[in-house]
Amino acid sequence: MVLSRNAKTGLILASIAAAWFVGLIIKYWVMGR
Amino acid sequence: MMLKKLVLGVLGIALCGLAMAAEWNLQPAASKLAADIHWLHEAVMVLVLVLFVGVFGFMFWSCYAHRKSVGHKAEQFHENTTVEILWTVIPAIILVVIAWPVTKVVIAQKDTSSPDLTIKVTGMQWKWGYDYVKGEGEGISFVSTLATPREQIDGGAPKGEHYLLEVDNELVVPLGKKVRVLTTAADVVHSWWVPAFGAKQDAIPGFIRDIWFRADKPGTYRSQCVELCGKDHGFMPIVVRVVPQEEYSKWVGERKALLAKAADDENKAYTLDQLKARGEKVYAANCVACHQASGKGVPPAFPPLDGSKVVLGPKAGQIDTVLNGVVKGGTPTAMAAFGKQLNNVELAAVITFTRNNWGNKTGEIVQPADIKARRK
Amino acid sequence: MSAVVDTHAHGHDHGDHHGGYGGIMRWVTTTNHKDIGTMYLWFSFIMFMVGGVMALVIRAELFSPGLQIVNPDFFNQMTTMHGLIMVFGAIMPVFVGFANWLIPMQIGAPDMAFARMNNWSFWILPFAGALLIISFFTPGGAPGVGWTLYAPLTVQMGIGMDLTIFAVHLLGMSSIMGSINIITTILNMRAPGMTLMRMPLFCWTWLITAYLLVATMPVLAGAVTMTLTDRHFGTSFFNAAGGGDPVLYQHIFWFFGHPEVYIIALPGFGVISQVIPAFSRKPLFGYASMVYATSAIAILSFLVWAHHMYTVGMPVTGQLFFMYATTLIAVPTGVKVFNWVATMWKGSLTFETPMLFACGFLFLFTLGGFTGLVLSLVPIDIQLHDTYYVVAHFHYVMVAGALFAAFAGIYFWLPKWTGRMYDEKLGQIHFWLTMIFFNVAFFVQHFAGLAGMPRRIPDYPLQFETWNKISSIGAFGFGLSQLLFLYIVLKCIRSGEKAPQKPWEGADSLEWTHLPTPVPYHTFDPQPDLR
Repeated sequence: MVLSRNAKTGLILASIAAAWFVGLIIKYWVMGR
Repeated sequence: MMLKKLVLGVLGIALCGLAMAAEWNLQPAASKLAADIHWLHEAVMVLVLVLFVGVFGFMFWSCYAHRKSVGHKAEQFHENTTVEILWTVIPAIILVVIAWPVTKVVIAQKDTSSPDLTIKVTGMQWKWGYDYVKGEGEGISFVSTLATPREQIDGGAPKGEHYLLEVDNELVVPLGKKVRVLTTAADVVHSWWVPAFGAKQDAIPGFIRDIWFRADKPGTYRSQCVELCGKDHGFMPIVVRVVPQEEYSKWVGERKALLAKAADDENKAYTLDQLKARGEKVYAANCVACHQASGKGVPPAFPPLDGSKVVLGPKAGQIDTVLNGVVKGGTPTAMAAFGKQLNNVELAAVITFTRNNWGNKTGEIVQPADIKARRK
Repeated sequence: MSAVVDTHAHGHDHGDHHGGYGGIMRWVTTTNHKDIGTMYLWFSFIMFMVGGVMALVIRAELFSPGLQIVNPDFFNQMTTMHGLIMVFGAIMPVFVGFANWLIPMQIGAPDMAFARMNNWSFWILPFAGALLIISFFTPGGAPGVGWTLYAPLTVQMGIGMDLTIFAVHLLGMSSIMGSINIITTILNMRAPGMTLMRMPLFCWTWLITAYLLVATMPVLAGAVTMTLTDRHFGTSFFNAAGGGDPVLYQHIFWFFGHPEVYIIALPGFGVISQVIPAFSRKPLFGYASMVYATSAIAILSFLVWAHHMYTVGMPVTGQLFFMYATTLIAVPTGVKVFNWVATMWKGSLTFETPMLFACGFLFLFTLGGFTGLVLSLVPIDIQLHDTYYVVAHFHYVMVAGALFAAFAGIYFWLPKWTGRMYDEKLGQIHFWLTMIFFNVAFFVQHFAGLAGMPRRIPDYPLQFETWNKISSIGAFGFGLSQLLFLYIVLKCIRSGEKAPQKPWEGADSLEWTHLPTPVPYHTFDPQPDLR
């Protein structure tokens, strides 16, 4: 699937946000176990 | 331009003089730490004044002299690397210079070693618990609750001089001794603070933190809880009375005698009227904020006691609720475990009161021994 | 170099030229950055009024010692929702409104990179705002925990807390989507010749702000999600009895919370950096320095969060680290202030309303910066943390700072957006009323804090009465003055004098030099060649 340049930039940024959110919760959940 | 700066400077100094008066400034210091903080604050204010005059001197001059309406034509310079470097480096140097004296005070503030007296402070919704854990007075334990009558708050009576800053049991400490304060909490985050000593420490449930102070002036110092902790956050003051050593020892003796007497009292059996009278006072100091003087509560947050199934049901059920509080999902609710705050006589009195007041007419008596039996 | 001139320049009232819809459906379905910008601006004004009424309830209760008007529980709900609505509903969206309107025009792009996502970013907001308002009507009311939502107090709250958590998630998603849009637009869609170092500073500040948002909103979402699971799903992130730590919440929240205040401030800095040069008829002094200083502020903002937590009981090394890092941020902030003053210096100044607000910003934001310096020093903060001194400080930087910058920008760009001039005399009156009443309301709060008045209390000891009375009078004056602003804007839109093509002599970004006044519905399609 060919992504436009804009779509690529957008997906990278969205991945950063998602990774931050999910990662934060997982980190503290694992630490608390 | 120079004259303008001079005038502003003199004005600034005059205002500083004015500021030394009471309500404009930090409270008068009653410890060396608080005095050091005063000095630091004054030094920073001088720095701020210099920056103020510098920056706004240029700005206001510009607003005056560089107006189009007086015919000033715009020059077109728009960068200067030297100037940028200067006004980056010079402020950085100024900050480094103030960092050293400030750092010394930070380190001193945290040094709680070798105290003469250690007191544990427990923040609760909405009062303070004090336990003298080490040093002269060890074993003394009491709860300190707001003593300002409800009528003053609701506008039904004129406000006293120490409105919202008075308690039933003051924290008493000896003059000139290093006091280490351990803070913790029973439910949510509170914060214990005495501005006159320069001591503030958050009270975190489940953890113990510490701070210290050494009061160098006798007197009574008043303050309030300083972390939002729910409904009555504004109604849990802190009052510390600093007394000379001999007076402190005398107070310790009196307090210990009281504790012993309370232990005796717990084995007596009281009449219904005695319990109701005492219970009404305990209710007013501890329960009225949520369950209201009418006993009708503020449903659904604070259930009514008048007509309540718990109050009219078996004694054991109500005793347990009052002793242990109500915990939902592992977290304490605003219905605290009063077993930790009140003695058996007070608990018996207030429970008897609720069972025999408003529309409740059980005729039942709860004695201190009943409470003691249900404590685990 | 070609200039784009749209031969059917017209206002926005003709539905058939706009995506095929008229009336309300036009606004619901629009993907046009100008329409969306307008909606953000109106939404933020409505939220400003709602949050403002809550502030007036607070100040009315605090006029005298004693409880006269509200009970303490409701008072806490007011302080909480006033904060949440102003931060997330008013001051952040107003600058997103500016971003939407101006960024495409200032870089020579036809619209934002993701025009449909832009529509969703906006329409989430009224829904989230409604959730916050609805929480008042649930059993237990809105949460009374302060906008900072500290644990474990939040676990004691009723269902209003859960609605608020949901609203915060939605607001965060809106901001994140908006930021992705802004970053992608600025990085990928600049017209040829519009290099990054040629962009107006407003675009730079938004580019940097957008990165801050992408990095920090997920952290806030994490903190409130962990609060939600502690409340309902048996976790103990912030509950000591289960092995957790209430202070962990504070760390996670403030890791978001400190960059958040720069998220609020930076776009305002960008607006000021457009307005001051325009009214000084002189280029912005030190453009490159301003870019570096803004970037330095953004990076440093991640390293200072625990200066909101000096009293939690962290080790002394922690206090020292955060103190040094915080004082360090004063340096690039100072650089920006000096650069603005240097822009004015030896310019040819006029003081129309945008410039009045810009000068008001420069003066009062800097004062807020001074009190920030005072607060950054641990021993002094020990005496001032959680007192009205802090309340004064953040209202100086967020209201006299960010809000004044927003006012400056609205007055500045109204002619470009509407083709009409606002009433200059009334604008100046609005400025002076706002300026005077703001200071009456908030300057005295510094003294109340120094004297020892804690925050978030509905009633207070007698020695704080004078300052509270003065502050309440100022607050009411300030609030009423904003009704004048509404009148000025409506009067401008309906019957303002037709604006000249270049109403501001010194304005020099693309929307002023390459586009007619008012701007057409579609602009820079195709993109201009600016090489």
